[in-house]
Amino acid sequence: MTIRLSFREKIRRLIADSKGFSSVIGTTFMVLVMMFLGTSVFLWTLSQNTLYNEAVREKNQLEVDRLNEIAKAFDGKYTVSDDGTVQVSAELQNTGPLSVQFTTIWVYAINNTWNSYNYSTVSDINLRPGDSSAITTDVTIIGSSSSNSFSSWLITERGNVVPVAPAAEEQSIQWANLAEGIGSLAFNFSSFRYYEFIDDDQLGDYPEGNPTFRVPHGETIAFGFELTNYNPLKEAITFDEHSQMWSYFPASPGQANGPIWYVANVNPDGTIEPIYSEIILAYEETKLFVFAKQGGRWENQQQNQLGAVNLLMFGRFESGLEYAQNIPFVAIFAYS
Amino acid sequence: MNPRKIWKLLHGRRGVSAVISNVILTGAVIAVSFVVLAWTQYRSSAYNDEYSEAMDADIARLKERLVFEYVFYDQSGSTLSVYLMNCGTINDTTVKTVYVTTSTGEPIEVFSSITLRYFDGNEIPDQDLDRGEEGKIVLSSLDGLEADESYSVRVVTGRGSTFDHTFII
Repeated sequence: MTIRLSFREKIRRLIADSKGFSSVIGTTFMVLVMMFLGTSVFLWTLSQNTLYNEAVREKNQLEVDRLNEIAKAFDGKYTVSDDGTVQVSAELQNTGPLSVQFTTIWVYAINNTWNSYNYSTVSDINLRPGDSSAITTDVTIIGSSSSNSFSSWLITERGNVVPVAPAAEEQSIQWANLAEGIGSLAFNFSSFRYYEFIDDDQLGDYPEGNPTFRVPHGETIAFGFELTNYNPLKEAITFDEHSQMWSYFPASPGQANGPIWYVANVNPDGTIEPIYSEIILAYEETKLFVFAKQGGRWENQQQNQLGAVNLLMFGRFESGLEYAQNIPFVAIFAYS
Repeated sequence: MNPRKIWKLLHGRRGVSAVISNVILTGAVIAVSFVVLAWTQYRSSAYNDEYSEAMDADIARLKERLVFEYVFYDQSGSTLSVYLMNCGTINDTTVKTVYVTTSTGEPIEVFSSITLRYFDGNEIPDQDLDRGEEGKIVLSSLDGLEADESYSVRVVTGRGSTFDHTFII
């Protein structure tokens, strides 16, 4: 026969009966200890995972920053000195939403047979979003010359590479300059002058001379003017002794030719070297050329006439190719 | 308590063996429990250490970042100069191995003895790159690279990160 106990009676008996109570307490303690250990390990693992997630988030943020770092370098120009120092100038612009710090600029120089590179540390170039700045820095590349092709790039502190775009107007400037001449040479009209001889082999008032297009008829004179090498291939040009300027007077009877003047080496004191040594004009270099060895003769009918002067240049490019050019460039008035 | 009962408890012999066996059993259970507890703690501690070590290594590796500023191959000297910068967020980045491969991944040379130098050529004393530090590696005796061909260089750091760069000679 089963006696059904009320719920209150069951609770009373459970409390009053101490049998097996220690087992309950022991089990409870064991469960608590295990839960404590398990929770500790779980929480610790969780904290480690949090650290890892933070590191991942930090890396992702860095990558996002790196991708959002947008800077432009343009209008790059290169000027080479004789000692191989390449002066790089460019405009920098931060077109991204983050500030940009530049750390290093690299320059690479190359021609047909040679290449080299170097770098320079740049400092104090930090651009806020939207900021622009100009950079001008020197990088030494031993053996470089103005005939080389150059490229350069900047490294940012975040590790991005910003290529320097060459000056867009460089070509148009070249051609504009070449409009003053034809081909590889540009002639500076304002530098034209003539010299009088104070001795058989010495020019007076050298190098200033007489800056005019009016020249004395019948005299032994010399001419000087500046030429700039704008060879599109950026090669130096070497001029040999046949380079000359010659004159003719179309309005005079018979259109007689006037004198011819050959290129010459002139010392700073105005003395003319008896033996000509070849003159080299590097790319973008400007030099005063003197044509001092007069040949031919003045004709009487050329007095007080306007004559045309042609420049005949002969030599070779840096690559070894021949160079020859006829430049009809100025007019002179031979007064008497 | 009644003194009579106490006297009976102390002088009564009945049930003594059961008490003793219970005490021994309880002691044994407690001892085993402590042993198990200690072992569990030891194991969890070892797990913690291993996990922590692995996590630290992973985090350090995540923070590493090397960029290639320039790679130049000198054909006359058969040397490859690799210019690096540490732009990550952790110091002491070492270079363990450098692989040079073709663009299709065929190995050309493996370099495991690496000397880190400053850009000016002087050796870096601690042979690592700290944050923002620049350094170069010169790999010599690298023959057979042809002009106008594309090659890859892979730098493996001491923490196990790899960084790749493709260059054309």
